[in-house]
Amino acid sequence: MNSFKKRHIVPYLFIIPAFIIHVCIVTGPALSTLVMSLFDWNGMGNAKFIGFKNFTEIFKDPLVKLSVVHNIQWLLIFITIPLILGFVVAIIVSRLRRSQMFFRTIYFIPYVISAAVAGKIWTAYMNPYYGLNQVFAQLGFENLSEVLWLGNPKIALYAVAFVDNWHWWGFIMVLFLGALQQVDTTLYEAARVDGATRFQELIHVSIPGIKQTIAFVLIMTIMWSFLTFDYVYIMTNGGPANATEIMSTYIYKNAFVKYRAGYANALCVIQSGICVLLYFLQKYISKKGGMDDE
Amino acid sequence: MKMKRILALCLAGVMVFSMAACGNSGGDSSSASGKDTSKESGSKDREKLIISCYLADDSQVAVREKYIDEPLKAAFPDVDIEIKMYSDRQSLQVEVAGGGGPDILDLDGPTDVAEFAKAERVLDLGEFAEKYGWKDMFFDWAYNSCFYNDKLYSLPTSFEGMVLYYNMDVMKENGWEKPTNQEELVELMKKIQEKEIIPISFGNSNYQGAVDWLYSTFTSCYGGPEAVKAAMEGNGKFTDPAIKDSMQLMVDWWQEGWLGDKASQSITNEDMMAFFAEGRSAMMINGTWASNQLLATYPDCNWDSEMMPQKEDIGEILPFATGGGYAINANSKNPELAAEVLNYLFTSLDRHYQSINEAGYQPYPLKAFDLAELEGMDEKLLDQYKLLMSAQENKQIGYCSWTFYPSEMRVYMNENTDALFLDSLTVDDYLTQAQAYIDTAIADNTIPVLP
Repeated sequence: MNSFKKRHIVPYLFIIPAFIIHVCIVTGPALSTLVMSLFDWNGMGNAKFIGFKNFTEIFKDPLVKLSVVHNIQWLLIFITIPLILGFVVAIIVSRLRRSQMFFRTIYFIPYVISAAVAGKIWTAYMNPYYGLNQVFAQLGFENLSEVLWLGNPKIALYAVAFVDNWHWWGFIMVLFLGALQQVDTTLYEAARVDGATRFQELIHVSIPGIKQTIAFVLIMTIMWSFLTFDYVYIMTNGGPANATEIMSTYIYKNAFVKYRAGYANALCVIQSGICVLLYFLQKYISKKGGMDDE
Repeated sequence: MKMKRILALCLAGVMVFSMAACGNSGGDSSSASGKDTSKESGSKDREKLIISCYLADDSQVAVREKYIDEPLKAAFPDVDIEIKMYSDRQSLQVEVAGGGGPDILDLDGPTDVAEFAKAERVLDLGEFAEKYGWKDMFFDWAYNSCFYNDKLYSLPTSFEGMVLYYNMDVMKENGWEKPTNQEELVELMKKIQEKEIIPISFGNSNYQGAVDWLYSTFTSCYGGPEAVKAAMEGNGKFTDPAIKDSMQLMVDWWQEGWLGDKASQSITNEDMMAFFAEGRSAMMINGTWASNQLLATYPDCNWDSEMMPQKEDIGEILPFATGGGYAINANSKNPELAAEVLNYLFTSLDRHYQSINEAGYQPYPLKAFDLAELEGMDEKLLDQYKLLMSAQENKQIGYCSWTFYPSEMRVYMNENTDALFLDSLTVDDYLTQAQAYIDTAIADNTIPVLP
């Protein structure tokens, strides 16, 4: 074996184990999802090939449309509130010298609490009979004390999103904070010498300095918004009256409650398609805006 | 450089071989440690049987061990019987779908068993039924409910019904009497609400499907069992006025705040029980299974239970159900033994009476079930069993969805009843869709058999 071949074969030997694992537990199941989406299958017995019937049904299913709309609402919430909040707080915390670690830890704590625990705790807080409503009533906020946070179809999705946001924004803040600390301090000094205000420093130094992190957070937020499951499942299970039904909970119900695994697979394919589409759309927009993460 | 390359090649080789070894260890028991091998060879002489059961806490496990595990081990000394708890339904489903799973499956009831039967994952028990004479052992309504597509796929594990619970302390304190008919119930609920007490406790925020307790009760008690039966047999429709009116009644009561204080989607099942026991609500529509929970969790609660107050032209009705079903896994290597174990469970009556008496287990729907054997047990529980038996003898049987409705129809109704309460779906549309599921089940010959 000549040195050229050795140089090219050795790296592949290292990659092969991980590649085999990936093919077995990621690529294989992903392809099987694609194949099973063409079958009528209850998840246990023999599957019957039905072509694209599952997909034609998806386009007629009003609950799919409703779930996608809820996912888009979720996306709009998560692409704005936690990002803005995380960024603003990261800027403030980055200016602190002594107590930075304290605030960083405090804001990050919700992220390390499991969704199951946090979801259950917040469900209890939002209980109209013994939760926060009792506090509101004692403080004299009568209207607020009568709100059914998880029982009113008009606000249930926002109530769950609030809790997920409570858990999520601290992580975003830490990402931004880490990125801000990597920005070359001489750039700030140069800006100050040129007479830039704090706001101008933010716009012309901080934001361009962390644009790759912003792009990364945007991409992850967009995809996670369409894949989210835990808080909705734990707090409302898609209810009341499908008011918080999202793609993931609807897929789960089809696979395990309605015994329609074939249809659930087709929904997974659509969900993945939407995520891929949004990924490329975001990449395109980021590139145009000079915020490409590469 | 050369040494580095040799080292790199060696490392890569080690990684590949270690992976191969990992992959092999699960399938080949001979490669396991000496200790494990000896253990396996020791148990090879004994047959192995696994029975699934639901997740339970330590106290429930202790009770189960006393009334099920230990008697089974004593009755089958040569068999290694394992009761395996499943933390969720999906794990069991996935295990069975993968060609494994326990020999005996403890499933949610006939509608659940039907899905396993459809997938040919559970065995037709016809042959065993003949061998052990199961047909004559169970009440006909319960036994017949276990048929799917004209084949017996499970055996009913409990005998339960929907009743109206009264908090007698609240009732006495306010001088209220138990209503005897629907009109009196309505008047009572108005009085209760005036006192700022929730008339009927209900909550389903942690289990949406609990609405089936309500619609099963309303369709049977206020629509009438005959109307439900006619619809299921194709002699009527689920959209007929009797059923439609009963569903509308349920929606109206919810919207009045009589059922769950117009906040049932924010109240959990546990809250529902607590509100009733603590007197925040005066009544509760719940199954007979709840009595044991009331006794265990709220021993000071002074409660009573009755059939729903009657509608004049229908009379008192008690919606019946079999709470669960034992089925034999089609993957079982020893179905004969599994059937023998099932037969033991249903014929060891002393053990069964003891479990009802001392641990509050629900009774099996057996013809040999004798109330006299339960004398001395908690009076309230005994009264409930008498109520169940008398309703059965007097043919006051109604139909709970988890036993008598087609599976798809039940799933649809469970998911959409809240939409009726919240005015985002009309009763007409809801019943039309439910009827479509009945039509499909009739066409497929998978409609449940109603007594």
